[in-house]
Amino acid sequence: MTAEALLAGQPASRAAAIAAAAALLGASANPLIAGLATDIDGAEAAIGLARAVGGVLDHTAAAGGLRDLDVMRQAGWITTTPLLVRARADCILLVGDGVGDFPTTPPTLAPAQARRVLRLPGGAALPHSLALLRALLAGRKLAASAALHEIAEALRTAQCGVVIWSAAHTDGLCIEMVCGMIDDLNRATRCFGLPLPGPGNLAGVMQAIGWQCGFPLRVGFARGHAEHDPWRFDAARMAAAGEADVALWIGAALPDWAAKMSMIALLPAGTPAEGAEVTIFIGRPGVDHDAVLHEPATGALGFRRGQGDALSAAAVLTAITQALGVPC
Amino acid sequence: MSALCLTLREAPAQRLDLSMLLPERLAALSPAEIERLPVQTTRRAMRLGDVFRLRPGDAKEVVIEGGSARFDCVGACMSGGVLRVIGAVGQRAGCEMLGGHLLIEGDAGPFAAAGLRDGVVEIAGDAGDYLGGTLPGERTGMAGGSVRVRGSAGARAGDRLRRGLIIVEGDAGADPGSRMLAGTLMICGSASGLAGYLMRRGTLVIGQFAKPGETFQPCGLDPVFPRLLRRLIAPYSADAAAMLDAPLSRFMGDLAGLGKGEMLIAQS
Amino acid sequence: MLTLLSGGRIVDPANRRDAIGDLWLEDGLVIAPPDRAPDERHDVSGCIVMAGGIDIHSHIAGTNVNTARLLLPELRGSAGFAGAPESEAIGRLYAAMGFTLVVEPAISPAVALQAHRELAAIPFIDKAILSVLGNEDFGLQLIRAGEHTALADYVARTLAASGGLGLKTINPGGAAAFARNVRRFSLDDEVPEYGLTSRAIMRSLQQAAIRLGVPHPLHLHANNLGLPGNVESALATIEAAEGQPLHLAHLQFYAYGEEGPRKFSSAAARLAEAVNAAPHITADVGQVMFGQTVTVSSDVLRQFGARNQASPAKSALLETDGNGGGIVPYRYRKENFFNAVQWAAGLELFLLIADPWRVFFTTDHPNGAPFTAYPDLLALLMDRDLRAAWIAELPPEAMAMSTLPALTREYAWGEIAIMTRAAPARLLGLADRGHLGPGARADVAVYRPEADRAAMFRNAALVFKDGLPILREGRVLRPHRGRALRLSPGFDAAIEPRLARYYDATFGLAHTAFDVPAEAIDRTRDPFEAVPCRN
Repeated sequence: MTAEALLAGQPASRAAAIAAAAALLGASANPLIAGLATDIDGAEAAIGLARAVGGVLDHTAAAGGLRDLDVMRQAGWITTTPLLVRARADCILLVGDGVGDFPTTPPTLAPAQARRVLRLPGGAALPHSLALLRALLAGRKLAASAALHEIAEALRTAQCGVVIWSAAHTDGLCIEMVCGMIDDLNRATRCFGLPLPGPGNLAGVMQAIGWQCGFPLRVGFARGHAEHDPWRFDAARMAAAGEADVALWIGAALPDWAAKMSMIALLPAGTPAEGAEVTIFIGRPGVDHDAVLHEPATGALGFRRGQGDALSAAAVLTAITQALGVPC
Repeated sequence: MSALCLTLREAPAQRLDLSMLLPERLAALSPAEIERLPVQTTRRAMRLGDVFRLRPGDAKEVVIEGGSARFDCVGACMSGGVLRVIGAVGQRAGCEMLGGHLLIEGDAGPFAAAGLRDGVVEIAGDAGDYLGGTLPGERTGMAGGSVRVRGSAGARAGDRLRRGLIIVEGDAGADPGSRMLAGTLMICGSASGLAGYLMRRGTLVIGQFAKPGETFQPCGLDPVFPRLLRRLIAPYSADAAAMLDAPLSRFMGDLAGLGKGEMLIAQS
Repeated sequence: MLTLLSGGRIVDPANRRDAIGDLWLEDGLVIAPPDRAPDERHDVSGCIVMAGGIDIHSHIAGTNVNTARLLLPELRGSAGFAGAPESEAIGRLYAAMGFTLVVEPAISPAVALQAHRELAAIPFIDKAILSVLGNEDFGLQLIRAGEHTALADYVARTLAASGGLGLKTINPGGAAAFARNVRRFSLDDEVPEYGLTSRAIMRSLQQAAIRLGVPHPLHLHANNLGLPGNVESALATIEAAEGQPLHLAHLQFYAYGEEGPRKFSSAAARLAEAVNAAPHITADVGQVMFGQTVTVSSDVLRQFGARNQASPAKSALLETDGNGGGIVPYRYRKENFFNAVQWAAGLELFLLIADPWRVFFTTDHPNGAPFTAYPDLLALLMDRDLRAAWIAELPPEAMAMSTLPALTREYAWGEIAIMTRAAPARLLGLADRGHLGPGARADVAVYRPEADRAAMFRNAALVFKDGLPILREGRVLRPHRGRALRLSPGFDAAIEPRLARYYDATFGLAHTAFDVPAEAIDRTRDPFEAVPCRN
């Protein structure tokens, strides 16, 4: 049987590991709670722990999520859900890398229309292609390739056009150009963006932080209230600058900056955890236990029944928070 | 009476929030009150007196002797007086400043002069990303005042600039003048990336830049304009003024959007 | 535990009581005076004692509200409450005002799970959602086919699966029409491809709610919200109800005429007259108050139009099958003619709709104003001199477009108690709420009268939830968690395989993908409380 927890790499009881984690966090000057690849229960429990220890919350995929978010909150956007895309889109433009293929099956709710799937490849030319495409759609007389003219015409004549991108692979200015183009198109027709969500339940964690803290990631509680600062609370930056002394990490594997500070690792059973002072093995949300997760297929939170009743991140985080309550 | 002076005791063990070190604010406080001001950003409480030795003086001018890349929000929301740092600062120096004079005799971190409304910010060293830009997720860029950087700037200098003047005497990082709404951004050295991307209006002058994007169109230049601009900026920077003496190529953009911005390039 | 609140003025219009007296609470309920000594006694002499307040229309949860939180980092610190406060603050600030039940009125079934997670994170108070239908393809197909029985089954299944306390429709057909590039949509305009008018959709849903015995009448966000001259829409909608129960949401936003030099005027007097003459109609006001806020609406057509007035200038719009949503920050300004007319129109509705059982106290939080403006609004309703002082600060040309300056009515305590307690409980079908008779839930608000009525309402002297004191003058006495009220209407299970086929073919999903099981919300306790239907 494998260990349920490790202390300094040696098998230990879960209770001992939780006590050790609470002791580390309780004594920390600037604790990080990062990775955050967890379900909604886990995210809410992590927020509770961060409040209790005055910690910083960051997600392993926050950078991409913030690129999307910054376009929304600095420029605005018109988006849609994967469900509507499947049901109604008659023209789909896939932008850049990380967008995979989209089913070309005819839309169910618009059977009279064929669906076109077009692509603007990633790379150094993408920002310029997007700018040219938007300029063409605005009626500018600029030299452009036949392919760009074809995409412009397809979007202009679509009844339900959709532009899909992945912020993990796309520059923020490109996303803003796409969203500006969509906004322009909506003066005369209908067109929507579909940002693909990041890994590790990023979209779900972002939502939970929103309703719990009133801000999106990244958030810190050291001064007794939620502060939102995407730069200051960047876990990797903090690690490189020596600003944090303890990190609690929830994810598939330890981050490459793990050696920079004391690590408390909540990892799937069997994951190597070299270098972590405290390791507690947990189940995979929605696989090994029931979980509420953001579902990329629906674009909404959904309930996933797990195969068993494995230990959840939420249970561990709640136990650590409760253990903090006892004065050392 | 000499300036109120704060001398750094030792490099701080955490980032510090120095947003309260404003001439107008310190003038109302006694030395003991100043020393008790909280500056910590982590769970470890830290007071100004723990970090600095205070030499009382006339708070119309505040001098910070010794700098650190961990000094955040120096001069943020400042509305008057002089604040001089002999050394480096961290993020958000002079952000949302309303007036006064902020001098950084060292390097500045990201978001220096972000959301600046008025006043003067001078940085003797290099500036980080988003110089004169927006604060993260917020809409308002720099809306007035002037910024001069003797060294180089990071990425996205002048992002969403709406009014005012930014001069970078060295090089700029990627994408200077992105999303500019108006105002003037001058880069005496070189620039890279998507200069002027999504620019609506305003003037972006660059010393060396390989090639603007395809949504910037070359067009003629009225020779009067550089002379007028030169007169305007000469008091701020001899380097920037000299750049306007060279022949300039002029482009209009970003034609993906409104397209009423102009990019002047001294040497392609 | 037996608790006595002694010597307060008990204002309990549902039980025709308004007198100094004692109130006894035990095991979470109000009880008749017993022959025993209390375990805990609270002297509330000099105070007003009322049942806990009920807000029937306040956007406190769900993906659209949460997008507002993510959209506006510049509303920092206390300004955050001007936008969408975090869940903890919502519960605490509502409870501080003596409110103990708040209904989030606009949850699309596809995102009900998140809404219930957010409700579960709101402390102190009870909560509920209204489930939104009327723009989604499946429902429109049933209405087009005249399948009224199947429609009722579909509505019932949706309410049960999404945990709704009632049925809401938002610009019925308007979002579906906008998805097909229609830009203006009124009561008798048709949704392309379906050939259905908004009137037909509204009537079908209204009758489905009646057929199912849903206590709350169909909750309607009508067409043409916010547009000059839209009072004609509202008047036509009242007619269209054909004498059957219908609730009109945020009526103030439909009380606009086109009189005057700026072609914008208050038509609230006309509208109030129509409501007075139509006993089947109830309405909440959606009062505008001045200051920064953020508009959060599933009327995506309206929000698309409102984008140009965004302040700060940004917005997020979401298009879905069904309603979608739009988040547009906005600042109502005293010096703005239009905003001043809106403010006046709302107060006119409050003061000119005669029956306090049919007009409901809302700001359509946060659309007209954040709920934190309630204390000021209550004070305005109770004090004509205070209103006169406000009016004096507003543009005279705006006040000239309204009858407000001439209105002298002041709400009495009994009317406040009806409008914010007894009437909402009756409207939602909650027999044990909104009053203080024996058997009532022991949700109690105690206010200490003072000259500044707004201050009195902002922080009740004492608030009880389920018989326990939870807040005193805004300070938390003990943590408390409420529940979400939901209906579980019966329906013919034949709708299940039909929905399953539809969801599989259309979305490639199980039709149960959006259901909200209790264990998805809370694994430690039942997060729901069942409310019976009328049949």
